Amino acid sequence: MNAAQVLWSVPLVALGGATGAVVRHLAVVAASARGDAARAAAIAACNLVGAVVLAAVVVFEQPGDWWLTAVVGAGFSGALTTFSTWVVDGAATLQAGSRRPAVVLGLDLVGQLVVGVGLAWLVLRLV
Amino acid sequence: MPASPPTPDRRVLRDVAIGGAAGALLRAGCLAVAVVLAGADLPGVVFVNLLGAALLGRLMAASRQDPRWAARGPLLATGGLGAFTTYSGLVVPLALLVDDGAPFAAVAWGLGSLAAGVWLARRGLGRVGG
Repeated sequence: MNAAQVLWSVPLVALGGATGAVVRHLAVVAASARGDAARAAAIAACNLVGAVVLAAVVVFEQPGDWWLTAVVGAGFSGALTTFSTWVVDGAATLQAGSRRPAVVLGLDLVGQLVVGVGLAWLVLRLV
Repeated sequence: MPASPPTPDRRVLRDVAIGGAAGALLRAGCLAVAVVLAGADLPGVVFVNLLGAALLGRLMAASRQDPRWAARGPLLATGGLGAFTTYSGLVVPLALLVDDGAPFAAVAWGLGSLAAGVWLARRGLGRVGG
């Protein structure tokens, strides 16, 4: 990347990041009214969709596509998905005991990691 | 006529957007440094994610005690730390490791960062009266 591309990446990453965070917020707010399990499902949906989007960016990226990587990869899919909310929600749910620990650990945490890596791998292999 | 102050929902969306933009930029900067230092972005992603999980745990604990921290949630938690940390930026490099014939390294990085993230989150949540 040259200096102009680095400079242009700043507003592009910021725009993608703002959009991704707002979409995640709207999805999580809509689901939260239906309880902890629905909230976890909304975060999982954002994370898995974002993983597929980023894998597709990696697959389709051409040498001149630095702007697409900035706005969609680093910005949108980076901010649509979240590690901190995923693990803090998991830890808080385990602490509160509001859902079965085996489901939180096996499905929400380890399950989501395995499915995300699997989906990204499928996109990398099949597209 | 002066502009009317934003309604709570609009203010929340604005805070999430500003936090999301700042968090994504900060993450991109950290990953650029990690690529220079480590030659790959995965160590940087793990560092950013663990730092963000620890900070979000502490922020959630502080928010339970002090409504002023809770009011900053959309900016700092949902937007800032939510976008600073990334799940896609973790699983795609792990999938590339699997694709490169290094599935055990992918499992080690993946489960290691998940376990460390949950531990740090739990520690943060418990610190302030949790």
